[in-house]
Amino acid sequence: MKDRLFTLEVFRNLVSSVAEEMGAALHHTAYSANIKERKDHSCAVFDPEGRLIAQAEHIPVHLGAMPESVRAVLGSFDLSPGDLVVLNDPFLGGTHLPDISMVSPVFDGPQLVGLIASRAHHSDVGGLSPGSLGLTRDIYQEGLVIPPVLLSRGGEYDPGIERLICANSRTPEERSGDLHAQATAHAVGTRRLAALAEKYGRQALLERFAELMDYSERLTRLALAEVPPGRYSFTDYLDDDGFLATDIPIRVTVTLEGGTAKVDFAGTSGAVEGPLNCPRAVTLSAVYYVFRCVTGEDIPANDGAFRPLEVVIPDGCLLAARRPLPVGGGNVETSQRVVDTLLGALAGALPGIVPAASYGTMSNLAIGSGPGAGRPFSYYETIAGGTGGTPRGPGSSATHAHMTNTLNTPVEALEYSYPVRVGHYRVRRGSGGAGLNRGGDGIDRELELLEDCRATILADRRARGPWGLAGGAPGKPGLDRLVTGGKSKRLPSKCVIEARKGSKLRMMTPGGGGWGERPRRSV
Amino acid sequence: MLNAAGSEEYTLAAVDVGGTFTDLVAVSARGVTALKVPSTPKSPEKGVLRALDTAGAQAAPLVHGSTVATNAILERKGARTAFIATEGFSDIIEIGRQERPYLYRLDVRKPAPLVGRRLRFEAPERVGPGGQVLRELTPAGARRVAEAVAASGAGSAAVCLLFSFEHPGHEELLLRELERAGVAASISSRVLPEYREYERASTTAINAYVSPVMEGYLDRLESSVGGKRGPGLRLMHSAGGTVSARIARARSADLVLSGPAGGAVASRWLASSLGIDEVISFDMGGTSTDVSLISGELSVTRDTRIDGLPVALPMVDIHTIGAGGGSIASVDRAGVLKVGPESAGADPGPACYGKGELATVTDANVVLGRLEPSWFLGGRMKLDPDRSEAALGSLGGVSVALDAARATLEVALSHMEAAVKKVSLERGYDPRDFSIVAFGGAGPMHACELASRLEIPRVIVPAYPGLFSSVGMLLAEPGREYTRTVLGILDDGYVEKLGTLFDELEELAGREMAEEGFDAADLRFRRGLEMRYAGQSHEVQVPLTDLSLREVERHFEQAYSTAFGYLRPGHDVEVVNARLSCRARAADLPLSRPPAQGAPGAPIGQRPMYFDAPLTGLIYSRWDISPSRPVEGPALIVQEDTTTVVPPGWKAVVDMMGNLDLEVTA
Repeated sequence: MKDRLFTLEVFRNLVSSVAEEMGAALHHTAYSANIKERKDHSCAVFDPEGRLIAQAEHIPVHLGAMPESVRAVLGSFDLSPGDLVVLNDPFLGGTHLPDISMVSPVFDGPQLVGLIASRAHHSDVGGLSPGSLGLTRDIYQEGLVIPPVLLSRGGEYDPGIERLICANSRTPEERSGDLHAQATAHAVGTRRLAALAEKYGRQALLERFAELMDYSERLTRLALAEVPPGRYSFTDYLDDDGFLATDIPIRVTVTLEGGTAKVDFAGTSGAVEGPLNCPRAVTLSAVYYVFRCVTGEDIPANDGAFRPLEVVIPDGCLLAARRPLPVGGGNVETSQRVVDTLLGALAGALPGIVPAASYGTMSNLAIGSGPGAGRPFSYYETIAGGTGGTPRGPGSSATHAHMTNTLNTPVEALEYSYPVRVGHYRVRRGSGGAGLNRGGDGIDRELELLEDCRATILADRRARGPWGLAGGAPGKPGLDRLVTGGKSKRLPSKCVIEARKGSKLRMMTPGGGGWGERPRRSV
Repeated sequence: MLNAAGSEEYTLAAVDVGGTFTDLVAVSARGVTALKVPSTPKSPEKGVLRALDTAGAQAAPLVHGSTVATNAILERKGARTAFIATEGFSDIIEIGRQERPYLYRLDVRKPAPLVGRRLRFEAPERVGPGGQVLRELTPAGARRVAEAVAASGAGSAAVCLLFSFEHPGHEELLLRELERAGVAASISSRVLPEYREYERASTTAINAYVSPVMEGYLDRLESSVGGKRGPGLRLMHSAGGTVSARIARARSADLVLSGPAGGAVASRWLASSLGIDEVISFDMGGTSTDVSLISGELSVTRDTRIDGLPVALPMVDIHTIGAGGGSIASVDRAGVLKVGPESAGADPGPACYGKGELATVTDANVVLGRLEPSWFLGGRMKLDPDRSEAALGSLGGVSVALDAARATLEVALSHMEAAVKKVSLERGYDPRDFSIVAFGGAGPMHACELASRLEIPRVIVPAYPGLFSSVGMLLAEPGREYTRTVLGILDDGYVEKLGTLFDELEELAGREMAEEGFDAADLRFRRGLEMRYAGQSHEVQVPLTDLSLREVERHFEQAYSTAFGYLRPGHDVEVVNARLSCRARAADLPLSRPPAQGAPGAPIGQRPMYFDAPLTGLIYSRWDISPSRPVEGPALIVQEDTTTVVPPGWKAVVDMMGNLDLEVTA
């Protein structure tokens, strides 16, 4: 036993290879730029009870979000070999509708040895606006809701389910390609996990799963025990929900004690009318992300690593959305603010490592063909900003922070594929907050629309800039403008616009907050 | 090492400069000369010269593997470089792809761009998709930019304009004006005429940044070897071929993986000389391990990064992990053993070297009896097994050094297993169909056990495992890769256009090779396409033998289904880039070493060894083994530059070319 613990690294390598090979297959075979170039996907291995064992993820927003989907599947079906379940329901462990998950069981003979899951951001699943991202008032306006359904039963693929999903997308071809890519990843994952079960035998495999989780738990407790105990609170705000609510508070109190952390969101706003509500799974992802940064990236990300964390979200809260609230922006906007809020609280406990606030929004932009246009298209992208200055150095400019890390679309790829022309693409100089260690600068990009288009912007930090820390100044808030026929108009942080051919959409993303007081110049 | 041939006529010499040693392998009519001299990092040409002097090979035609380009980037010691982009886009070199390299670090750091803000310039021009000129660059406009660049004090310039691969005219104009203003320039439409502006800009900037450094180095090297090197000096490039010193000066970005490519080339040669197609090249040194898959041809990738910066040129696909013989074993605070990525390096080195206290993979091998302490480096260095024992024994977690040693080796092997899976399974290949070619100081020590884990039945250890990369340089064929973006949907008309394009590329390559004195009859061209289903954004490499629509489709489907395991019949197929590889036939070299004659393989000793149980194994000298008598495991086969471990259940024979051929017997 002791000997086995000593060489646990060997097992860890084997089981993470399973998730990584799945991820490689998904990434390579996918159709859409979202998955291929921007790596907006992840793959994971679970034990038979649905506990996370290993995950290969490229963006943290998927970190805590899959276990609830896997549990929803376990609760919905008596799974057999060859089954493949598809779902995206945000109230059953999903994040937002474009994130489609698949879950499949792996058997050793008649016995379940584990499950594998994949999640990928599909660029359009219907709804009000192209990109399935818009100013929505309920989940039904956001697109197709997929409860857990069998895409394959006993190895028999159901093309009807695929047709149903594709028929509800503005880009059915791409959907079909991406769904196939996910199914391919599952074929790879099933083979690899079954091989592991054969190598170890079911019982020994399950024991090792347990050891790996215990190991992560132990490391997390040891790391948390080093943080000064106490209660730390912080409140941050979302600008607005796109409708009437403004200055929406998110409040957190973190209680650190004896190697555990209690994270309580009491005092946070209730649910809002607009799409900023956060499914519980997304809130958990944000919490896990922050603690992973604090306790160290070397700890294997599995169920055990999350055990020392207790997360309390009040009923009816913005951060535990209930059906049928709209949640499109919870994943991409509110999650960033949850991180800012938590880091703000932890700055009290860990002043030597916590940076000032980063740009705190994903500045989501979706553009689709306007009514009566030619070839339909749907383009979606997040735009980075400046990261916060840190106790050790300046922030980074034009770089994704926290819950996302998706690549940009190259200017040349954009112009080949969509009716847009990029006017400029620059670092937004001077947008980072001043300080001993400056915040990084945001991005300034202008798109000229070569056809009539419908564009959706879902952004935040347009009213108040990302906060500075330890005397540093805040970063500049973002600013978006539409120029039509020589007239320039400032756009709200969340809006859907029918833009005429020839208009120019300019987005300037926030800079990061500065850290520390700027030294006075000696006279 | 081997007998120096003295003043005799060498056909060809190869020198590979590494961090610690500069290796030389040279061939003459009499055979092979191989030696190592200490590297001289501050002026690498001195080490090269010394190696040549020692061998008496100053006059031989030389192939050189150099880390000068790589180090200039890693140490940020390249030329003061300006970057010129389309107006509105000079920051693309800083924005990059907007991602951060580490997901869970609160200190966000992107790799710093090679060109700072003050040295970025914008040209008043704009070209759109299809090469459509939206704003013409005027000669006066180009001149103003060039003058501003010259005034900035930049010694080198990189030019990357949007869609220049479809309309190179504006970049060419800037090149002329920059040269007129006295600034050496690299333009993206020549360095990498392909779409995706950031990767193209980064590659061009790297070229502009390192070319002046490479030029200075080659000038010094050529003058110090007598100034008459001229066409006799060729450089190993990252795609596995060689280019003349003249081209190397202009295309230095091609050289960033010069050294590791040598090992892969040698592995491919070895495999084909044995009549096998499928090998995994396994090069394990002191601090890292390079793994590369060869299925008939070298695997080529376009996704290489150096110090975080993309170099999108075709390069041999080599996966490197931070685990080698010097990797340090430690126990984390939850009681789990970790190996690497920290390394004890050459100094202090593993505990058994007598200086350091930290346990390494090498120490584990000493404790397990896989290294004969009196035979290390051919007996020139004595290892201290007591120090290994003490270091491993004090790891904690387990009580005895032996258990700690077993665990250390297990964990190190699991890292290597993951690396081999990455280059095989993740790319659609089954490792069981491959053999391992093991080299580097620590490769032959671990190869059989690694093979067993992956169910690979055969391991080949070349005659000179410590100099194998240099052997690859000796064997590398002259010529380079040419690429061009040719975005379009595959149909009959398109295939016709491709034919014209490939003809043009071949003509260009032929001209370049003719200038270097190669006969057109000796040139071999390989055509390839980078293709995908329309709408995708990642491409597969498709070899091309015949330019008919049906053949192109067939090749695409074969490559695609190997990589991904499925096809999408009826979907449009898109060609993204055309790639031409041009190689001149290399001279046949008498590289095989006749196996030892005389008394067949008497062991030179025996020692206790530990595999799954304590055993006694025999020790053989590499040059005593004869083809007629296999060595059965457990055994060690020692030679100056490595030790080959033959585990129980394996046997080794020497083949006619002097390779050790190891096979599973059980």
